[in-house]
Amino acid sequence: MTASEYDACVAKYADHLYRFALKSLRDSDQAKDIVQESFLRLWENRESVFSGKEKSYLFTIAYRLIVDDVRFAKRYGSNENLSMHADEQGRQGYDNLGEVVKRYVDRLPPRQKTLILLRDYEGYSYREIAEMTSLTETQVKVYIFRARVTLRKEIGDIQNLL
Amino acid sequence: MKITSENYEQWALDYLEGTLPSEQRSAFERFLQTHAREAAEIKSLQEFMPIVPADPIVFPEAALLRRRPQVTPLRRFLSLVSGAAAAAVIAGGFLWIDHTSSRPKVAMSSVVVSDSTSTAVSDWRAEAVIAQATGEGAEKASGVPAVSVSEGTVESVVRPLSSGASRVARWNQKTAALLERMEARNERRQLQAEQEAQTHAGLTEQPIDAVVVAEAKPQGVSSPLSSPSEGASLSEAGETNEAILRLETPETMTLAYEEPMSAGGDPSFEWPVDRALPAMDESLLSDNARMLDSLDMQELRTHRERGLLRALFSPLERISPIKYYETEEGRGVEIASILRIGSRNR
Repeated sequence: MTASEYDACVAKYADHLYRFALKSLRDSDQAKDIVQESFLRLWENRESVFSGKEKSYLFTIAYRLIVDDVRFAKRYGSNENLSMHADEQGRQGYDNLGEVVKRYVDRLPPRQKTLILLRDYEGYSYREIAEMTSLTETQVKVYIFRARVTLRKEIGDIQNLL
Repeated sequence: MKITSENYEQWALDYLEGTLPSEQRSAFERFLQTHAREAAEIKSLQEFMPIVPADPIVFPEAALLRRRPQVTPLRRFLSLVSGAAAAAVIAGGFLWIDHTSSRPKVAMSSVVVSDSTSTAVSDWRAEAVIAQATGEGAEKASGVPAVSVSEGTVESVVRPLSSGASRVARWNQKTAALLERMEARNERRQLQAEQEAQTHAGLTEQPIDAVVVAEAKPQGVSSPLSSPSEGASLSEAGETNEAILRLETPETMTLAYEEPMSAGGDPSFEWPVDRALPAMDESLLSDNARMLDSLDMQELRTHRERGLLRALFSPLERISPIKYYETEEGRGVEIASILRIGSRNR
């Protein structure tokens, strides 16, 4: 990988990686650090990264950094059960359904939230997500299905929002 | 593999997305027919699948990650424009220097005062230009002196770095007044020479309004400045002493030559060319005129050129230091210690 190719990766994937890290951590400073660290490791290991695999490599690094973040683990803990409750104030005043979904996505357990973001935000396949997160493809599908069921239950009937 | 309530989630997402193989799809549908809770769950997601929308988020520090600086078309255009502007300024300086150096230079010599002729005034006028504060001179009011060079004349000696047209105009007025006074003085000298010649020849009478005062040697006899009605006074000894004759008129009472003329009053006597100017009444001269008499013209021209060069290259001082150099070969401005723009000495 040359410097020009590396700069092309920066131009192509920096925004996606930052969005993924920001949605996962909800902290812009931590998200910036995640992005910088990911690209730094890409540059250091540029000789071993195959052409066309730069995006997968970057998101894999970013996901592992997010998971390894102490503050991420302290904020959400290891409990995969959903601890969300109805927020009447949160349901009021939404402009559109997208804003509602975003609001409840933040309340998901960290692993479910990360997988949802990789699937919906970045458009990765279940197989690619599995490679990034060191999970099986079946496990990825299960986690994402559970996240969508939770979101559907909390959002409620769409007619109540209109 | 049999689908149960514990493992149905493995096929649920593929069933909802329509990617489940036909055999597995049929089995999943048979499971939903026997499990109402799971069927209601699948049905609710079929009606509304919450998909997280992507936000247009931009990473603000992407430029810091690049290995090579990004040259935008705007930055490239601005660099080309600034380089062209700097080249145009330098080229303009070269053309201006070449234009000024090509003007005819008239050697500035000391004023030749001749009693017999009135060439002094013409010589003085030939070597000084009265820059009229009109036309091109008036518009150049921002530090560039007004200069109007006529045929066969030398550029005027203008105060360096004059601040405005009014200052140049005052300078021009003072210079004109000085010339007028010198013309009058030369005329009086000429008249004096003629009268002295006639006096010695004894052909003419003294003018009524003129008085000849003869001073004897210092023997206690003083020569009063008398009224026109009084005549000359001689020493009591009756000896004709070597006298200093003065021809004074009411208009020239305050102008007196300290240098004695020859006893014979040779009207053809001429002051030496290299002789310094006779002392004049300082009170009649303005500051500008005194400076004009005392300064060397070459030095003034050099000083003027320096002021013009500084005015021309002052915008470049923000980028690199501008210095004025003067060597045996020439003089001019030095930019950033690497580029010299100036003229050669002839």
